[in-house]
Amino acid sequence: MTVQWLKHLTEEVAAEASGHYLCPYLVALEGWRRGLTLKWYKEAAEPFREMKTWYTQKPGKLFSLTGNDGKTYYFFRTRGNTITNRAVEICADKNLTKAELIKGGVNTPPGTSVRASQPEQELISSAEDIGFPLVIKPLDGSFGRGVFPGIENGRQLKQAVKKLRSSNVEDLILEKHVSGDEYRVYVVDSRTVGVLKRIPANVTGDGRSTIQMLAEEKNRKRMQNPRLKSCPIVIGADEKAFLKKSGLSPESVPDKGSTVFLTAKSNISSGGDPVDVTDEFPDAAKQEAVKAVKAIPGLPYAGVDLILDEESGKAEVIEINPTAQIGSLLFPSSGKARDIPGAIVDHYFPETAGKGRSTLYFSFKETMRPLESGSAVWAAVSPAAPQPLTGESVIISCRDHDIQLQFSLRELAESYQLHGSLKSKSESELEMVIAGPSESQLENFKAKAVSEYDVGIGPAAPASGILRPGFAIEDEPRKMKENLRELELTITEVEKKRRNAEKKLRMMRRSTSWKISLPIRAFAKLLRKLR
Amino acid sequence: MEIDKNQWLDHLKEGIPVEAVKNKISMYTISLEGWRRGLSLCFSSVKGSSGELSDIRYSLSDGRNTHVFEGSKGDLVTDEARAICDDKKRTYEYLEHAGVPYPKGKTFDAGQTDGDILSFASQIGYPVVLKPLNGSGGKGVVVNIKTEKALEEALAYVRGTLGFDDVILEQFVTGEEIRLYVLEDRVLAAVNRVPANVTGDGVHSVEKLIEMKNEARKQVPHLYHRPIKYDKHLYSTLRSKKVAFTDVPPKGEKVYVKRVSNVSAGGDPVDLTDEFPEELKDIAVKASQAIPGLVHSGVDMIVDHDMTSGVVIEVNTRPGIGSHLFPVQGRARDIPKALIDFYFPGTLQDKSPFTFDFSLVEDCLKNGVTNEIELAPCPAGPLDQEQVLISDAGLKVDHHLLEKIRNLAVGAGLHGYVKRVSETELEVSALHEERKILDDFIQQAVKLAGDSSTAEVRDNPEEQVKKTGFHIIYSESRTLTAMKHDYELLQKKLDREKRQLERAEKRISEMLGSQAWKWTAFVRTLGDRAKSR
Repeated sequence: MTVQWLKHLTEEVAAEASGHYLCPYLVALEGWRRGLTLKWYKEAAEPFREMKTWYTQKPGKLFSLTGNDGKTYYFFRTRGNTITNRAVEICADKNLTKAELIKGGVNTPPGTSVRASQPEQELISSAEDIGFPLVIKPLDGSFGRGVFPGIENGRQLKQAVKKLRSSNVEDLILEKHVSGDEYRVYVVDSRTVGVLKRIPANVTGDGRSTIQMLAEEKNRKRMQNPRLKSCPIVIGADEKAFLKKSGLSPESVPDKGSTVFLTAKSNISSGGDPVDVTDEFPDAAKQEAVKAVKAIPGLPYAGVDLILDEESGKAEVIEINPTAQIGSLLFPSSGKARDIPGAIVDHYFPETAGKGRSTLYFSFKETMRPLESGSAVWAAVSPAAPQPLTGESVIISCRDHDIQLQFSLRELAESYQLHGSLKSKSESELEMVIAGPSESQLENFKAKAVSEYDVGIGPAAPASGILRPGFAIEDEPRKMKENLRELELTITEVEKKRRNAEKKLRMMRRSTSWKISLPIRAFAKLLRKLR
Repeated sequence: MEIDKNQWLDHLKEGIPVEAVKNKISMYTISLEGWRRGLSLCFSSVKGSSGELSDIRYSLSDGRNTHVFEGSKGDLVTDEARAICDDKKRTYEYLEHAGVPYPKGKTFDAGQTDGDILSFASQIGYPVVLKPLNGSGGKGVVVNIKTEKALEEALAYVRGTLGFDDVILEQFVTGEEIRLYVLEDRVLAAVNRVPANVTGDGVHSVEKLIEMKNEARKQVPHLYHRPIKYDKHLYSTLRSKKVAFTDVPPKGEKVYVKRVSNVSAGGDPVDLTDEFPEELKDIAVKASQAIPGLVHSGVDMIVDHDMTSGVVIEVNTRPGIGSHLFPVQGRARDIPKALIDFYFPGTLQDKSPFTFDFSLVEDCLKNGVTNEIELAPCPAGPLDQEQVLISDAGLKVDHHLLEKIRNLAVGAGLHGYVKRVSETELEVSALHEERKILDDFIQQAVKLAGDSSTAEVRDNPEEQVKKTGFHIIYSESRTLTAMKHDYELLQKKLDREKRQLERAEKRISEMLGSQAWKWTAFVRTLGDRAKSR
């Protein structure tokens, strides 16, 4: 399995934004890197009052991008305001979606909406109209929750409805079961930008480790993937039951090279693997996805879920997601990453397409700070420094450093227009990353630092290609506290010494011997003067 | 020294965070006044030529009109007015034209010799003052030059050592330096600055009194970081007055420890708006109006001791207003109110107790990641408050739980805080206009803490929520900025201690090394023997 991520979107860049905050960060970052003005908003801020949004108590999902001409677009996660509320409504209701797809001549499995509270006989007769096998699922569901596939008869249908009733789901859709594999196709402006296949959670044996150990090992690898780190493989009751069907348990040791599936669900959130299949995906199926997006009014881009029957080559559209996640397409387990944020920003700001981008990134956590406490309505991110930047990493050696040295170095670096960071490595070593507009600027800074602050600077190592704007001292608050404590102790010590010295001085001056020597001193002083 | 806070404005008594003291008072108090009146408030960073943060600007808007401020200067003060005030020579030209008295003087550029300056000095007569044309903060200003020889020395220092070729030579006028705040044709405030001083209590030494006064100054936002410093100036002043650090001044006696009156040198601001003579106020108004486009300003005057005549020495477009808001003696003058009345007529002053999180704004703009922030509006109308202590022996208060509660509160639009009291206890204090939302939130917060946790209602008026937004407070919650301020102060204290120690040690070793001490050794030996007997 080979993986190729985008050079400008690495694990480091995405480190601070995870889970549902990854996608909005990636789109916002793309716009910011192209020189657009980026603002983050708190929940229910003015421009978002009319927009369909959900779960926005915590900031990081609402933002705006503004071009040089002042044109502004507002975004909820990956969805911007060229997508209408009506389109969002249609796609949230599988029955409405189906109607629009049929109107647009798009392949979609026949189906009908039903209610869980309907008499069972009515449900069965609806099912018979469509014909078994079929799928029953919530009308507005997502993330594969409450989906019951492969229902073969009335008895299985009744069981599924019973479960759905117990979890308080009322509006349902009955749909003809289509055989084949499920794919996610991302379409922007009638162009297929990426195709993803989701493989259910699985482990591959090494002949020695148990399934449990293999899953843990795989989770460690998933931790390094910005998309997958929030979705580890969990072997719970459902997974154990699934293994049991093939006579396995978490303690079984699979043969070397054999793949064991832990669930039938292909969701990434249930531990599935995202695999990029864009290049090998058949054109006809791609066209079906493009047609599906076109069929929904007011929907210029979306993620399309479809089932492709490899044998017949027929693709049937199941669902359309206008607020689709894009992390899996950028950080797949195998295959090539597809630049969805680039395509989305191209859609809104075509004038910036292909004009290059900054390699800097901004700190997601820091930009959220004024919004997290509800203190601010919005906060704008400082623009990226002009390109190009050359950067390097150096080790600075000094006699035990304190925070003042770090402050001084930062001040000096800023006076040379450098960006970067400072980190304490040991008592006598600091690690400094510096980036500036030119090589000579870096050299000038280093020469000045050596002469001004009596430090040694080691040979330059290349800095990781991507840098943050501003200049951060990483352990500043902790260091500051330590230094304060130390300073207080030193002061107490010096104060004590000073008091003692002054006391001694007073006693000496008051002593009889000093007093009686007054005439002698006066005489000596006179002598000096006369000389 | 007792600081009489009763003379301060009620709504600003406690509301100045440590990050907003000193030169940020104008920005903080004016923006706060506008925000409390329901105006929307934005802060943005002004970047210098190399991209560093050089200033913070703020704007207020009522939806129709927006005004941008820097310090106490609003955008109705024109750029032209600022350009004139920044150039003392041009300022004096305008004052001359309007018939405003100012110290006679002349500007000399690099082309003119020291000889030219000396001959001008003999024309206008001594004493004179020499200052750089474009200096600031008193750097390179030499006052009270009484003789030609002293002027030669001053010229060598200012033009030579400091390298200010362009200088102004002026008559040196003595008297009280009064700062007046002028808005259109009214003097809103007048403040005198009295040199650093202590008042004896018959018990403490001068040194202790200075220390006590510096502690008291910390209670005054405007003076927080402006202690009476132990510098050359202080030592020379005390020496000339023959006062020692160890002296104990009698009760009620005032001892001046410095000669200059600057607040930054430890001076005391004293309000005298009411007693300042009308004729002199008229001069200040005339000075401010002499400059086109200067709708409000700070006018510096030198006034003789019996307050009969005065001259204008400087007109400032961006005067600090801290001395007017927090005088050490006299009544506070509400400059922010007058300014907002002027910029946004029709908006009503609201004595809201709320403040916004200024330190957060400053932190975010300073670290460079954010460059503009619009604040959430000031809550209007009365709010209900609820304060509870949530505890459970099995509870583990960690950052995760605190964040969850904070997010819940922010989502529900509450103000307040969640505080980690101990490993198993946390305090929640919240405000909202609707009782039900408040109660629901408390219930949910208790639930988040765990099924077996209990909530006990607290009523601690000390902990009244005043800051908008919902904040996480750890037991130790000093901000980085506050720590840095402390560090600077302590560093200075350490330097002072070290200097004093050195001085004492030097003196001891001089004494020990002196012939007199050696010759009298036998006396001490005898004395010791006598004692041991």
